[in-house]
Amino acid sequence: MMIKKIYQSAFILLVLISTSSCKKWLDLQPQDGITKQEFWKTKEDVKAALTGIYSSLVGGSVEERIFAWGELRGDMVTLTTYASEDFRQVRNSNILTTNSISNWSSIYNVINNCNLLIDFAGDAKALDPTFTDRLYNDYVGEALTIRSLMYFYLVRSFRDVPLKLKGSYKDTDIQEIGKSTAAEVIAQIISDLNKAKTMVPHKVSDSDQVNKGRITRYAVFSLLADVYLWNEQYQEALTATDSVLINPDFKLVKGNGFFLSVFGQGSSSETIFELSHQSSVSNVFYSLLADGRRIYTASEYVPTEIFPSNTQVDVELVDGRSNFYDLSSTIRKYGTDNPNFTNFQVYRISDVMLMQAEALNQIGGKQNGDKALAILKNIRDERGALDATDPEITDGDDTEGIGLFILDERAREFAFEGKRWFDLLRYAKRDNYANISILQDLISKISDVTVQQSALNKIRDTNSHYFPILESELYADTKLVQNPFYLK
Amino acid sequence: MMTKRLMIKFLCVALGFAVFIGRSQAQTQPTTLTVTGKVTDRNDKLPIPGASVTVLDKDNRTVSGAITDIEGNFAVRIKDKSHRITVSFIGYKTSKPVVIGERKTVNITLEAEINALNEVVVRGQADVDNGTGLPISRIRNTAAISSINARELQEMQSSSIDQALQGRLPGVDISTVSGDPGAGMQIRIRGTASLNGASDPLIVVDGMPYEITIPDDFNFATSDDNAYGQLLNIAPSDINEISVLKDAAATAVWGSRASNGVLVITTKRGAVGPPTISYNFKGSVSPQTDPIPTLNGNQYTTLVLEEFYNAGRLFSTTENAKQFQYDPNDTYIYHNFSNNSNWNDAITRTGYYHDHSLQISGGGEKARYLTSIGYLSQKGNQIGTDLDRITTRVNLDYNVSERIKFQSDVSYSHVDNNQAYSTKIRDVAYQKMPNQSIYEYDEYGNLSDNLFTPVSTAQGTYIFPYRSGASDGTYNPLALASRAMNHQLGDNLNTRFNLRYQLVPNIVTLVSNVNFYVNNNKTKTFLPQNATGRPFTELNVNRASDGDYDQFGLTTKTDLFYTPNLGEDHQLTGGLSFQSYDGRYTIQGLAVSNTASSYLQDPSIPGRTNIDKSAQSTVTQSRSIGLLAQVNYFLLHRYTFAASIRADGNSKFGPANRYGYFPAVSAAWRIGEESFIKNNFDFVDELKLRASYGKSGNAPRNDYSYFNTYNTYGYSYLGENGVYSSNLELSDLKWETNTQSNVGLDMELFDHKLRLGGEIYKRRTTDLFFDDLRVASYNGFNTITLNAGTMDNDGWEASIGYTALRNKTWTVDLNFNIAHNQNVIREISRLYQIESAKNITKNKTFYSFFQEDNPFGSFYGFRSLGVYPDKASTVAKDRSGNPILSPDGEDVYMRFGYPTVDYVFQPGDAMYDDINHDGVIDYRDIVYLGNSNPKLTGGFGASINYKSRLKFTAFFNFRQGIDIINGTRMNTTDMVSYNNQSTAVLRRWRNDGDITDIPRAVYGTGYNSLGSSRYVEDASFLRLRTATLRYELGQNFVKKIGLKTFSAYVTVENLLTFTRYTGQDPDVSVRINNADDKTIDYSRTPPSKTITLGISTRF
Repeated sequence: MMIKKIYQSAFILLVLISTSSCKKWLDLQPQDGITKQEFWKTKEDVKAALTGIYSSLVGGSVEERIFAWGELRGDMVTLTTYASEDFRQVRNSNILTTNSISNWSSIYNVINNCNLLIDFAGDAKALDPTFTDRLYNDYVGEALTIRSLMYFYLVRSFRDVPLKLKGSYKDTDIQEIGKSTAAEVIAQIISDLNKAKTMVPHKVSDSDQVNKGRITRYAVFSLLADVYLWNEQYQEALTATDSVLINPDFKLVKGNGFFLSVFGQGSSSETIFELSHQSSVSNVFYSLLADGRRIYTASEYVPTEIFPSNTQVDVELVDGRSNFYDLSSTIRKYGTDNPNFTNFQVYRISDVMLMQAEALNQIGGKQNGDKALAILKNIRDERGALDATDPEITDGDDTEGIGLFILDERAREFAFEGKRWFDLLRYAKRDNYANISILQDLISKISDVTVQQSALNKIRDTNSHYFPILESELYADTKLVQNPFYLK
Repeated sequence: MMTKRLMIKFLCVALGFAVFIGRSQAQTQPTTLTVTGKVTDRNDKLPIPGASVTVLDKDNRTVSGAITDIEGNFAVRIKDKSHRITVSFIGYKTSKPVVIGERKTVNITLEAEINALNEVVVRGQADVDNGTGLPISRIRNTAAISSINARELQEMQSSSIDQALQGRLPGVDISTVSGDPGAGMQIRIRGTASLNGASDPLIVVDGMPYEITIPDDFNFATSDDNAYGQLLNIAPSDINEISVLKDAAATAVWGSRASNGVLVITTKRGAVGPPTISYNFKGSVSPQTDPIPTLNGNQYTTLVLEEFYNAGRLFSTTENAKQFQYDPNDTYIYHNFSNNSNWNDAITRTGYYHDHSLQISGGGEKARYLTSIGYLSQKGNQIGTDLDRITTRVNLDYNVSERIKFQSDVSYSHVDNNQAYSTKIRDVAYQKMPNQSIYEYDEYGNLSDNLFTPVSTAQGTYIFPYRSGASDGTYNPLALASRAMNHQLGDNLNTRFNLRYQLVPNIVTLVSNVNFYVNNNKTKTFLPQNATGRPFTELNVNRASDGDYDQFGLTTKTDLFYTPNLGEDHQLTGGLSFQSYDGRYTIQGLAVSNTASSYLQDPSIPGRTNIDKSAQSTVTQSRSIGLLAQVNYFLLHRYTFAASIRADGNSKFGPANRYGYFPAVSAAWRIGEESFIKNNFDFVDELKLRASYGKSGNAPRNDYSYFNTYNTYGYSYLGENGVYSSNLELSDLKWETNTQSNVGLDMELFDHKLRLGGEIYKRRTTDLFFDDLRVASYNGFNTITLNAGTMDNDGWEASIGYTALRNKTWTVDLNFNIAHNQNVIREISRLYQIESAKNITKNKTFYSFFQEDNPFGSFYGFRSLGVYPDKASTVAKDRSGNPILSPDGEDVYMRFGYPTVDYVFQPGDAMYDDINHDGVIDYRDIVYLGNSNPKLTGGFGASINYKSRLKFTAFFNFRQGIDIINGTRMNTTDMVSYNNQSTAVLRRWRNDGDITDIPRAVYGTGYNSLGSSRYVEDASFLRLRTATLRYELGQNFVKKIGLKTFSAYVTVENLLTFTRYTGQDPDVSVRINNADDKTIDYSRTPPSKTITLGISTRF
């Protein structure tokens, strides 16, 4: 009997121990990651999350998207046989709602990273007494700016997009929000940037590389100027460009070193904001532009229209910017080594200069027009632009001519930097689509002969200038409404 | 933490033990005396040397012992006069215990054992085994359990028991994933009840759950679905019985992991008797099954030229035109591209297999043992695939006393498996241009030993499959099969310790089990340059990877059984069980590419480049606990009531939903015992009606999903490392619950000659897990896992066994089983993408559309009407058959996809049914084409025994009413690319007026292979799965050669298949995880025809 009792009590003890502690016993923490409960405690956590935002920009899928949205519908690139059908259909203005190019998830992934930082940096600040206001403002301001940059890409590519300003981190955060109009999104961008311009310092580090690889106050102003130009707020754009150009440290790199210094090495005196790949992750552009199975090459219009050779004076004379591609039309701007760590330039000083020229020209008046021409001349002289590309406008009142000149000069200056289509669209849509004919010319250049007529018809519908929302997104959010052009 | 808990648990048990032993020692009196004696043979009175003399206490526990000397004398120390002495020796009956009392000398005589072997322990009723050890006899069973004795399977050539089980048990659908050695099978019990949770059944070996799944994140190398079939590494010859638990009454006791059914495997154990050594040998050859015939080089070249001509393209200008020009002046190209290579022959061979197993078993009253060692070696039909396996097992039973018994089992297996580097090799071989040479010719036309692997050919180049299932491009398939390595090594150690203690003799029993499980796997892959011919600048040249997957599991199960004695009319069995599982695994992997030489095959060797995800390391742990109470009450030998409730806790859920409660009730009525049956129908031996209802739960696959985790990027930004929120926290995830009701009938008639069984069940899965449910990506994530739906699996099963003849000379047994399962989705999340492939205008795309209350696996497409023979036939016709005229009165021709595609059909194009008669083939003409769920599955067989010496068995299995898309046919008759085609295209449309079913060849364009009824085939089949002829040598002869038994047999497998399916093999594994999943057969290695010669002997 004694034995039995001992056994029984041992068993009961065993069961009791096991059940009473099973609550704890079943609580297992992952061992290869930090959980949210352990995160957002110190300023270092916030800094790591900020670095994470930048890392999410350079992983490849974001740059790939930016490049596709900015160049694919333009006339500077053409497709190789390795490009998939989806690419071709974009070129032919035959974009289906299942076309993978309109997949925006990588962009929203960055936006979510920004949102989480904006939401939770305050938690860390409350817990970490060494987290100063200055650092807090810097981190949150950078996140706000990158979020704005992402929304700016979206609004230019899709027009009306969902405006998600709160981070998602758990299943119950998944809500249907539908989409906001382009005006609302732009208003949000402008308000965020105006906030960020007071939060982000002029310099975040003593290192040039860091100052150019991260958002500084100059980057905020550059983006702001770009947004104002898109929104046809020229006076505000002008003010914003002034805030950048006031800094004499940003200057054009003169002479032959330009190509190597600005693109090959990166972080030159020209750069305001770049996505840095230096000694980190190789560039997606190698596989897109330089690899044997590359998708894009320079189009036939680059050597004939963008950089025509100077027949009259000296055949040997070349525009310093025409080194961006070689005889086999390979785009060399991002290097041809594998792996490749060339930085992606988002804003350079020449961009801000040309934006200022554009703002001045749109504000109008002879004086402003002359200033714009002076800026153009300055850039062209530094780059060694050929006479063949000079429309020889002298009259500052020739707003139309100067406008076209700026557009063309931008094509040369920012060839293959993911800006061409946005420049064309901005030009075309200005003043209520006064210049829509430029898109029609474009379509007749880039689309296949067989579909040219239908493509020309489609481009007349301004809704077609924006990508459709990917069909699978519509399933996931019933409040999302498709761009009317893509509704049958 | 976990180890601490366990320590405490063990301490408790150990403490109990210590106290127990301490006490029993304290009980004894301090006086010791020596007892001597002599052991002699009862018959010849000669002394027996070496006999074991054992001193037992009142519980028959061994206290001390001795061995007799050469004179048969022994001396033992006795501490208690109540102790008894017993003597045992091989070949003699063990003596009855003799009480010592006051005696100083005890002489014992032993009686020789004449027929110990024939002594059979006859038990009143065989127990049914639900694995938990609850002692319930078969007549009291209330659950749907079917069992099969492994003896019925032992003659088959199968490295894993799942292969042998195919078609044997009603409601258990086992299908082949691939015929390659080491490839797994897919087991489904009563259909698929979970889409994204685990859908494999729980496997219980000797009462303890057995881990057979590999986590999803071990995808480091090239592993895919079939790669880890080797997990169930129990040698078939070690298995005694396999039971399948199907209904909720049976599975509920296994709780959270049993919602897909339970496979209970019992291994053989030693029996009382002298050592028996048995040896089994199986050797087999499997010739290659006939492949789909493909074009030879000349026919192929003609076809390619015709494709280009029909597409209006100039062939001679393409860069690869030389490969088709057969220009003798261009000697190198000419010799290498003017062949008639048969690629399929090149990559296949005759497979063979041999399996040896040696088993020693025996034992006495106290201890019984069974130990076995097995070695299996298999060469697959496809070059580069083989399997070697060593298995060992020791099963030990020891009776410490009447009340304490323990078992200790150790099994170990080692697997060395070479698998194909790519699962697509066979597919590529089918499509590979046959005019290309297998081996390279030099420019003088001399054949070299080098495999011909040009950088690229007209067909393109090798593409590294970054995802499994992705395209591989094209390459020399023999080069890839023979040069690339996918080598898997596995070591699996499984130990079980079981202690059974009768707290109150025959009334309360405590059973405690501890099981350790160690499973280490290694996958090494290497892709040398010469397997693909790609230049060294590419990342997939000399690409080496090495992945380790190490798993450690600890399972405990402590049961308390209560069997009170309530008299004849009441039998009550109660059980309380506490189970715990703690498993952890680590995954480590390393990959490198561009090592300097094809002989440098290890990723530790520096390569030229770093590749993405070149190192991986994961540590994961999961735990679960279960507390089960069950009771079974048997009244008046006729009525049984059973109930159980199980509480489950699982670490994969967040604190809010961590526990689940799963009850089950069941009852059985032995109608056959009622007097109105007994008296009136005396041919009824047994008639039992069963009914059950119960729930079981399923946990998700992934661990830690209720945490939002921050991970680091694999690269830095400006020298700093960033983190990102890597997943959505699943705070809301609940148990997936399976509710099943079952009604069953068991009948045995005519002196047990006819045995009938039937089951009808309804099974509903609620809170169905959906992985990767799409969420709007503006949330920063694309997918989420949710409980989002309800699914039903309803069906029935029936089995018939009939002993047609049973006399001294002949025994003839027949058996048949059949099952039907219907899988229907009742409710689904709105987030679920119910449509797929809206761009049905793409060739080879089928449309899937999912509707609630419809089964999964339906697919839609165009109805094929053959081929337009001429221009006139392409005129569009309206509903009444009159030509449709344009506004200006001209004929309108059939168009495709107007206005977006607007292709006008040409003579020779595939004709699709214009359902709405609008002259346009588009999405409005899509119709239902089929469903990939089989209607009926099952098998039947016969066994004929002549004088217990000659035995013939045959077994057929079948599947009926399943539609499969013949993907190989789709790819081998499309004629749009450089891919080789099947010989069916020789009857393709060529000239106006040709009436045929194969359209014209057009390179690159056309709509001749749209997803249509042309590729949908009925894959019903009836297969002679196995037939065996066995001969057993006569006892007298066998004795003369010093053996106990000897038999030899011949088995043929997969000898005959009756099917209308035109593909390689109709037994295609049906894997339906999504509404838009449909079964497409791309011709994996088919199961081969096998001839096995086997020997089994005992001595």
